[in-house]
Amino acid sequence: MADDLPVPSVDDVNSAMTSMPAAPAVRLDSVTRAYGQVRALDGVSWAFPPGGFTAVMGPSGSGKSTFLQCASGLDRPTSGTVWIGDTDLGRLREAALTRLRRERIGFVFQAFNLIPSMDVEENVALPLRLGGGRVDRDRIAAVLGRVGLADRMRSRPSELSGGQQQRVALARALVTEPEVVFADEPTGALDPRTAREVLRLMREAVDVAGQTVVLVTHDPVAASWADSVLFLDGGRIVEELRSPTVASVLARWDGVAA
Amino acid sequence: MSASTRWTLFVMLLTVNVVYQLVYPNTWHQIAVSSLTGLGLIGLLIEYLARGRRER
Amino acid sequence: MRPRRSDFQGASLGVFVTLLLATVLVGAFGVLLESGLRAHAPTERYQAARAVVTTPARVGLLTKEVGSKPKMKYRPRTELPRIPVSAADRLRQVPGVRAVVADVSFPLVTASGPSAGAVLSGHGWDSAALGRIAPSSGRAPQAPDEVVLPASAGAKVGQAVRLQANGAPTVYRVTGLVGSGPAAAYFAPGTAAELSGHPGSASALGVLADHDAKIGDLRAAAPGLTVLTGSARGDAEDPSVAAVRPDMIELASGVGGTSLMAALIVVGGLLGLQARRRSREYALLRAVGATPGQVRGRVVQEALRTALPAAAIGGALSLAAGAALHAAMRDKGVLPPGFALALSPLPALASLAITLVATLLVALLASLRVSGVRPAQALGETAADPSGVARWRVIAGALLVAAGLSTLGLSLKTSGAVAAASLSGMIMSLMIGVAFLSPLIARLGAQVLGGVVALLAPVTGRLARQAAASAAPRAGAVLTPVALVIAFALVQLTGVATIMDATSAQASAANRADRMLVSSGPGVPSGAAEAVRGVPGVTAVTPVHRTTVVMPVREVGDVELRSYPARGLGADASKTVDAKTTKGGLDALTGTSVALSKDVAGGARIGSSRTLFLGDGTKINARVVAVYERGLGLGDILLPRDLVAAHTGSPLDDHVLVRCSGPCSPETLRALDAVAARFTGVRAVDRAAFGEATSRELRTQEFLSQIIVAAIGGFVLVGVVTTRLLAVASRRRELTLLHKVGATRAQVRGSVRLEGVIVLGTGAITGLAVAALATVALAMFVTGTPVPSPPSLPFVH
Repeated sequence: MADDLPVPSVDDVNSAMTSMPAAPAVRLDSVTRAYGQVRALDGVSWAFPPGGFTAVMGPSGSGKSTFLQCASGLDRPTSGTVWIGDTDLGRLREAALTRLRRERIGFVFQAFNLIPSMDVEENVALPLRLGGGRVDRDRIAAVLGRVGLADRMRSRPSELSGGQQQRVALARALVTEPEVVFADEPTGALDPRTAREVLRLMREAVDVAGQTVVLVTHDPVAASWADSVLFLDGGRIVEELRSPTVASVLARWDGVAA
Repeated sequence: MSASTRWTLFVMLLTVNVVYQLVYPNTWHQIAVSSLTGLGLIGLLIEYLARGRRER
Repeated sequence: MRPRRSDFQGASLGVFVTLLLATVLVGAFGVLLESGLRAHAPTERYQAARAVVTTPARVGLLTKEVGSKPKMKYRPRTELPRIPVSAADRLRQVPGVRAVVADVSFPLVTASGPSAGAVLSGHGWDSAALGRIAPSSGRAPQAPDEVVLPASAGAKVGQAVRLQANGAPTVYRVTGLVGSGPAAAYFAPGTAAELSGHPGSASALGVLADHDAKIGDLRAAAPGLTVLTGSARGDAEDPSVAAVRPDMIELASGVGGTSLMAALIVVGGLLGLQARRRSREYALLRAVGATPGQVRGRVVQEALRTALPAAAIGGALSLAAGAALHAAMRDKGVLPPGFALALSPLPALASLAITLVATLLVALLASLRVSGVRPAQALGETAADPSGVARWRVIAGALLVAAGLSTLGLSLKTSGAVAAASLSGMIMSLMIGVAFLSPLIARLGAQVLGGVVALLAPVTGRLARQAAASAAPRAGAVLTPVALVIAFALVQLTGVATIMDATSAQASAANRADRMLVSSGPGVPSGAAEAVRGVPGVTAVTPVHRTTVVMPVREVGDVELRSYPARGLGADASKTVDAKTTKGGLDALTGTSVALSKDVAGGARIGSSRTLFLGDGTKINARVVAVYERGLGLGDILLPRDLVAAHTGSPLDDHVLVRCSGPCSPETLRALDAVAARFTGVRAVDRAAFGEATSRELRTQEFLSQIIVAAIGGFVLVGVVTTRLLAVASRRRELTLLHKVGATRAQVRGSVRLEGVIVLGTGAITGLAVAALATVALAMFVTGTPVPSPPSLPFVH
């Protein structure tokens, strides 16, 4: 009879919904990457929630670049599994992996993001063109509008400033509406004001469009824009910091680096 | 065997082979020397190949 | 996927120029090839003939090798044939035939008058009908002592002239003059037949017929003979053009192919370098989701975009180059004068297509390197060169070098074609081995040569040495073409020079005569040799008559039909010629016999029989009477002079060897000169003045090697300049850093220059080493001493 069952309250339902794990955007399961005897990643496991902005920090040699390479399908781990959504990267062959990178992942690197001989529009359209599909120019214009460079479609990368180049790179990363965007020190070569512009755009992508972003950085200011910060050391995750501020990041950093 | 040792041996065997051929062509002992040095050269190369395989 | 516009970088310019040059060369030799395929001697005397009947233009032999079907092999006939006059009878029966003329042809020298010494071609007057030739003044010759001359001879009708055929000059009366046409003299038919030296035979049968005479009927009426019509009739007038045709075809394709290959090596290197410079770009593309195939497609597309205009312009220019090549070859005597130029757009289009296809393949190969780049490299900040060389490369290279050097002995032991093949095999394997080992050689060079440079120029030298050492893999790409071209050029030039010097040295050593009778005209009349015999103090007189002979010879398991320059030696050959016989003797050279050099003898025993084809295509079975060593100086085949003269177009000898008993006394010499003076154009020369004309084969070799060297040198120069420019450009950051850290602009420039010196110097030394080995081996093989001759500089004479 309906009267015998406990009736959950509205609060219970709410809290259950927020704590129920949605399928993670990226998941690593005991991932190890070894180069000969050296282990750049040592049994790392983590799940990145969808729609989250996560920063990955660590001293040099901690393995954060390797972490990004394995998580994004640029490199194959020596052991362990990597999942993008519900796809096991280990099961994919080279061609399928390439297609996954093209359609479901976005990349922003620290430098050299754009092909010098192509103009802005062609650079942004690159992942779509590689897929062989027809390219909708309005779509390109729209995504460039989001980063505020819709008026520079014909310019060459050499004609843009560093910050503008990074914004174009972000536009290209977002044009395929990927499941996750991986950024490797995107603000490393920028001055604080331009860096803030780029980070703000990333934040906007997360908040407004529900994008998942994984940002590898050594800059505490950049990390403070994220929802949470992962600290790596010696190929392992040593700490997670939620709702970071510059101060808390710096404090944790000293603890890690010690 | 280090790289320089290997190369030195290689050059020595090759030189003996060639010089012997030029100085004593068409004699029985030249054929013997050439075969021996030739085998030695091949042995060197095989050793180099095997070493690489092992290291990997 | 298309980039909108690609920057015109240094590499593109280098690729453009190289491909342009390559297309020009391939097209030029294509023009030569086409001319060869379409070449016929011009038809002058046989213009009015409906058809000309002659013997087949080539001789053939059925050869059978183990494991394959029997095959016919052919070589061209070089001399005018002998056709029995009676063969004309059947032809006359063919309906539509008005007349059949038995054409005879012999050389004639004007012995008097304003044009003394001029060479005419003698024929019977009935041959004039074949060319629609009629006297412009006077009448046709009828009596035995009458002649019709061309107006250019400067004689007048009724005048008496002296003409020299195969004996002393004889008096003839001019009965008519011919205004235009070839330089021919016409006699009464009976006289002409006698003067030709072989009455009863014709060199061709000219058929005058109406249009309704069927060629098929003519062919049926002339079994065993060939019926020529149209422009092919020229080949019956002058067989020399058809004779060089197969060789020219082989040559054109061979040299064209070699040039293309050299160009592709350079282009491949440039494309590889360019691709490596862009490796970060390709890593980015791979990261963003380009498949390796898409990356490859991009590389190839870019290469083709440079190749297309280069090939188009090159193709157009190649026609002019081909015409120039043809003219130069005619000039040097490599091509007979009748070899006409055939110009059509075909070679230009073909070379364009070939260049594009070849570029495509090379670009694909270059792209394979970069398409394998790991996308993770896109994250790297610095573009570091992968250090170390692939193991398999080292092994392959070392193996090739070792194998190449070990076959040195083989080329020394054997002779003839096997030796030549193993020598070129040795060079090839050495060069490929060098190409494989180039990064290691570059590193070694950086250490050794760099050390020298650092000693001489302390500051800049040390910088240069470091730069050269660190860039060893890239330096390898520059080093290989430099080494290759230097090795190749030196081997080619030195090889030809060594052979030429050895040939003349051997010829001189083989010549035991004290004086030679030579002619500035078509040859020495046999009457002169007879007259010299009577001179007191002369012990031996040997007339020498040269021709080309075709003989089957066993080469590396195959039986090939080859053409050999041969000499017919007259009486007293063993007294005037020292061929260093190892078996038998030249005295036995009579009747149907032959003496062979050790290179072609193939172990033949004295008394055994050898099949060969004489100059006019007649097949004989000659008895081997001697085997000798001096094949280079004397030619590989010696025959009895009478046998040769009976089967050549001209009865005249090439020269006559005269030997005195002991040193020649002044009276003997005076008497010799007097005898020579009786014959127009003949004089007696001593050994110093007697230089035999180099054979066409050697002249061809010399000319070609100069062309190849120039062409390949051009390619490599372009390649080297471009790679140096690229090397500087790609290290601009490093150089600006140096500049900032305190090196002056001059020091930076100096270090770059010295680095170039180190890299290029290493390449040059490697090339020299390979060339030295190859030329020493060649010299050993040719002369028996390990001393090669220095090359003659091209274009200097």
